Amino acid sequence: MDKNFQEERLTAIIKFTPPLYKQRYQFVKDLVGKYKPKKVVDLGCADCTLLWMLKFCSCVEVLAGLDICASVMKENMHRLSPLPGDYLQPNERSLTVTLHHGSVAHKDPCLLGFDLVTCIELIEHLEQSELKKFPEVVFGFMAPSIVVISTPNSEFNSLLPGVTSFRHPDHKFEWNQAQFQSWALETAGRYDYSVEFTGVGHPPTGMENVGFCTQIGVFFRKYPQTSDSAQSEKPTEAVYKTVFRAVYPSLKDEKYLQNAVVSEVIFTAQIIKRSLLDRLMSEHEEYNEDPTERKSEFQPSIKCFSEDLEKLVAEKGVEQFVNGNTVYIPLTTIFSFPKVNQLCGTFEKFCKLIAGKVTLSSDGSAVLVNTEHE
Amino acid sequence: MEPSRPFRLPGPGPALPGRARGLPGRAQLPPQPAPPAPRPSLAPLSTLLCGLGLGERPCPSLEAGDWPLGRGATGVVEALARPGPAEEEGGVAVPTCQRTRILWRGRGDALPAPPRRDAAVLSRGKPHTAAPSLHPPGPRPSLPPASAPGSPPAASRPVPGTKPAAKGTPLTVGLNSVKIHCQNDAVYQYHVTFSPEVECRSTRFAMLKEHRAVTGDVTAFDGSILYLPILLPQPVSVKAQRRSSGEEITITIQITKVLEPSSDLCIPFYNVVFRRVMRTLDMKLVRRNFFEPSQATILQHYRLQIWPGYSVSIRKKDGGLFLLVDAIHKVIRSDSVLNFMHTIYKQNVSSFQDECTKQLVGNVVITRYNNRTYRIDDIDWNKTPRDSFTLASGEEITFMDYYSKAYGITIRELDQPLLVHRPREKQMPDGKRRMDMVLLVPELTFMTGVPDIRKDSRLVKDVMREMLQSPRQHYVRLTSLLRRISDSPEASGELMRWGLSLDPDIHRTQGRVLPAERINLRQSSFIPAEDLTWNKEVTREASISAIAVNYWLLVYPKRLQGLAKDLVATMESVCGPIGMHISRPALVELKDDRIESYAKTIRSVLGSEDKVQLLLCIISSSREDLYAAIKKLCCVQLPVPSQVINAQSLMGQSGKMRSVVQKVLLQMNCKLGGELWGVDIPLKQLMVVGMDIYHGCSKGMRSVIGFVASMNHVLTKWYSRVVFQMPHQEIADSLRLCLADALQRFHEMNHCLPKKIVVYRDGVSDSQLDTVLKYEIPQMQKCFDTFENYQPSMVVMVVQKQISTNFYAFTAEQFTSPPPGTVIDHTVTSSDWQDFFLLAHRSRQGCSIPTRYICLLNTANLSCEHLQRLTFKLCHLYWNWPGTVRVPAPCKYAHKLAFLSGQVLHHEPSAQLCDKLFFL
Repeated sequence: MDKNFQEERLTAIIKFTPPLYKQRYQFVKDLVGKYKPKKVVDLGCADCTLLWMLKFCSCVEVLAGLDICASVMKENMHRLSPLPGDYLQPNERSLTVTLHHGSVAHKDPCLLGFDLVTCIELIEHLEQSELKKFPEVVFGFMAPSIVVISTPNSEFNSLLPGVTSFRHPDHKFEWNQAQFQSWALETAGRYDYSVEFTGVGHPPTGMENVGFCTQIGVFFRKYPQTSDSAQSEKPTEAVYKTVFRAVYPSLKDEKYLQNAVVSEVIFTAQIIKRSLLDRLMSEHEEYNEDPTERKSEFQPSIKCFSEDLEKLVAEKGVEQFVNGNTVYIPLTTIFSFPKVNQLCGTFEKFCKLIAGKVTLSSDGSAVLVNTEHE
Repeated sequence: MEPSRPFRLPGPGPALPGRARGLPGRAQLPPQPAPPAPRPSLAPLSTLLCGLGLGERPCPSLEAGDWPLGRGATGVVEALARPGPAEEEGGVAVPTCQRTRILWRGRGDALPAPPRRDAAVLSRGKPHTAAPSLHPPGPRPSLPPASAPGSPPAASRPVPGTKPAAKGTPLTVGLNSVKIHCQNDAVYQYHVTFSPEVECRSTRFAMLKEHRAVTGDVTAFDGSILYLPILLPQPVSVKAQRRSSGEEITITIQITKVLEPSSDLCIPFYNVVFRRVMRTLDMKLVRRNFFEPSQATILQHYRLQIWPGYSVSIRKKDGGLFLLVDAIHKVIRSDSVLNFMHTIYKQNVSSFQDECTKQLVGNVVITRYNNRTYRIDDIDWNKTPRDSFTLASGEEITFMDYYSKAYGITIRELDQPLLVHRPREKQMPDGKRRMDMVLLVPELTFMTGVPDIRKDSRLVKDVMREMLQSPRQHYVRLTSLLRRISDSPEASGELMRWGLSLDPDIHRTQGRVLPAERINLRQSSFIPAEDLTWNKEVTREASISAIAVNYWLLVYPKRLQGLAKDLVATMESVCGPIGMHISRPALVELKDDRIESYAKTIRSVLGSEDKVQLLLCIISSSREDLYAAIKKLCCVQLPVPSQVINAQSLMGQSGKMRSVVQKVLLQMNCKLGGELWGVDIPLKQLMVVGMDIYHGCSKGMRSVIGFVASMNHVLTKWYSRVVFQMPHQEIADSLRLCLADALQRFHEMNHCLPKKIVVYRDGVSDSQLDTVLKYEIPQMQKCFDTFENYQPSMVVMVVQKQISTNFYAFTAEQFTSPPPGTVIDHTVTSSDWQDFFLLAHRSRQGCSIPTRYICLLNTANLSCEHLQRLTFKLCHLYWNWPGTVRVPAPCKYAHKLAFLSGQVLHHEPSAQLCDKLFFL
């Protein structure tokens, strides 16, 4: 976004690597990595870059963004859509990304129940009246366990060439460290939060007292999670407009889970069949080559991979049998494979998922594989 | 991360023009949005080009045109997107291309990259005729609406509407095009100047964007040219401030043109707008097309998914603006390339690395973490995800850490090799060439297309069945897209911002069915049945001329002794009706079926005998290497017509042997110089030339030109030549030589030179048309000077098979494929060239895809109708198929010839065979 771009130019002489905006995002990403929130909302999400970075965090299941400008979100929202690859290997966790158009000065129930609220370079864009309502919306109404707020540190501006007043023409104010900290402490106190101050963009050596270029306050809620009943006492009308919503394919979704399980079952059955046939063949065959010599050329990882399977097959080897062109593989054998087991959880679920998708014996206890199907 | 867009869309909707493929002059890319692309590459730009689909396409092919396949069938071909084997009629698979051998890990590095083909045979991206020409800004008070100028091609283009109405049975034909209505009166083109000059394009964008109040929200801007749907009061001058220095910049927006809303100049950004429409409908862009992975069909047994999708583009045609829609599919493996490698490993331990290389190189993969596709050019067995690369910031990072940091992806196997993608070489501004490399982690990539299609024909069949669409199904998919657009206010609103709206249904227009052609045999002639095949007739009646086979060799391995006997007996019984005389062959029995046994024996027999007319080999199974060895011997070293038969094709039911042998005999007759059938050719002293180019699937390989010219007036005798084309080399020189030789030979045979020459040139894309016109044609014409007082008239037709135009016919409210011979020469034809669409064949399955013919030169005064009829006649003359084929026979012959030479022989065939169709 322009904001980032301009700041980059400003700080050309005091050069931050990586660029300061990236450091801010990385700060949030590290915080997510540390506290593993499930539901994260970015207030003032603009071009959605932070949301895009956060969608790769495996703990996050609900991601939301809010911005006052719908067009900047619309321009960039498609980067939050699932990728074609996501459909090929659906994630284990579910993920929903939603973008809302609206103001942080208004309460909307769709932002209730979040674990982390991020406000990166947001508050300095708020008019006085909006800034006044902002703490009540975020700390009072949304009341997440963690809030991150970042804002420029005006003391640093003297080090930035070309900055006469504010870093961006849309900034309504820029605070020095004392101003920000007193606002933050006052807010934290009022809503029963604690606050820690930090920042990104270190000042040059010898000027440490200037502080970070971007100052950050991390707020932690001191009281335990609000109960559902408490939240339902805050009925509010929806005022935000949803501009984007993407539901990622996930193994939590029956359709994708079934695909994954059936695929795994067929794959496993093929491996068992092959090893069974190989064993039957080898009983009739002489060994011309020294098998160990051949194996020396394998790559270690691949060796592990296939030996693991062979071992597994060998362990269960007694159970399956060949009848004519058909190999019978008991469902219990297939279910005992870790991947299948892990996907389904229970044997009942396993049976339910593969019903009608895999050829079973008449009593439904074994998977049938045709030896000619090669 | 999504791929960068070639067009900058300053708002939710508008775009900047001028970055279309082939548009010259503004070959700059929009700046990469942060964060950096996950590109462990040294050269971001060319990777980016690939991401944009500007990179080289993986070589297409797999004979799409040989048999009358329908849309569904060629859909597979598109989806498979890699060269595959072609069936010779005898049932022998022609080998796929050679691949670089990769050495074992630890024994050495991967082989260095083969020499690269630096320029395609024809340079792509020649100045397009519709290149926007910007008028210098100046005081131009009033401008009349004008469409974009296009340079007039040599073949004089009739004024739209005055195209001659020709004979033929009229037929209402539905097209896969949708008419676009323009609601606005005009699109206004402005020139934007920044004073003092602002170099940085993104700054220009940002500065202009601040003045939305003036320009409105709907803009298309490329940094200097601005298109708006509104007329601004003139002159417009606004101020902006350069943030870095506080300097004041004056932005002047001056009108340069008032364009018709359907102007060519608007097409590039209309297409960007339409891409947004597709995105709004939640379609996923993969390369240039849109797909819906959530609607996938899953083939569990093969671990494949088939994604339905659409290829869409807005084009200007004679009938106005159209949306060209095609319902397509993408085949994609649902397990990673790493899993695929494991599968190969389990099947083939000893030659695992070779097998991987063979099955992976040349395939296109899609990554899990972004939306890019890459073609695998190599596998680096010495690298692992533990190796490092340098980020744009200069930081060294391992692949492992990079993917974990940027995408939260943990790579599970740390010993996997890495896939290598080499983007197309980029010409740097300083003239130096840059070699780039992209390394990909197999665990994080998926293969698109079907690997190794030969192995499992059941797979191919299953995949085809899923993708096959009847004309009705195809139509339903098109209309469902149109409905989705009109039902989504956001999607249709996106188009409406530029005043565009879509017709609710596909476009229907009047086509013609050309009269049926009479097929001439030796003693009889007949009008073929409606489906335009005549297999019965040619196997029961005598061919025009048959070469008596008196001295020929039959080579077979000992264990196929019985089969060889049966073959000879069957030949004797079926040769009579087709008018062939076949003596008993000299039997050459091999002790085994090793390649050396064949090669040694063939060499010694042919070396001692020079009267051998033909060599027939029986091989026990379809083996590429053996086939290649035999063909190399018989086409290059010891030239003799040869026929290879796969024993498996002869086995089975007894009736099958008979029909296979009939086909083999007809093919043998062609190879010996016999003539099977003909059609009436009213034009006298005519020579028809066919040309096609074969591109090897690995980069840097020489491309091969196949050249075929007719030697008699009934077009049943052909002269052929092959030229191997070095990278860099201009094709024109070779063409002049080929044509001069062909004319020389024509004179020898007819004691005169042809007065008319009609050239069918295959393998030319739209962007290369200008090159053909400006360089190839003059070169060919130059060769006439070699002969005294020789000035023949000439017609040059470009033949395009890979087009996305579809025809439907409506019979009694039913959707069917139109009958063979259906022609459309208006409405969806190009406004820059004289072209027509001809559907010559009957597709057995799926939708029929017509072939597009573009007339680049016509000094023979042949009318459009004459050209259509001549073309249709030529589609009857491909002797490997008793029916009509998609392209004129000389093109098909040239294709076969180039394919054999490039894929199998890797060498020019011997000149002694030039007067026979030895390559069939």
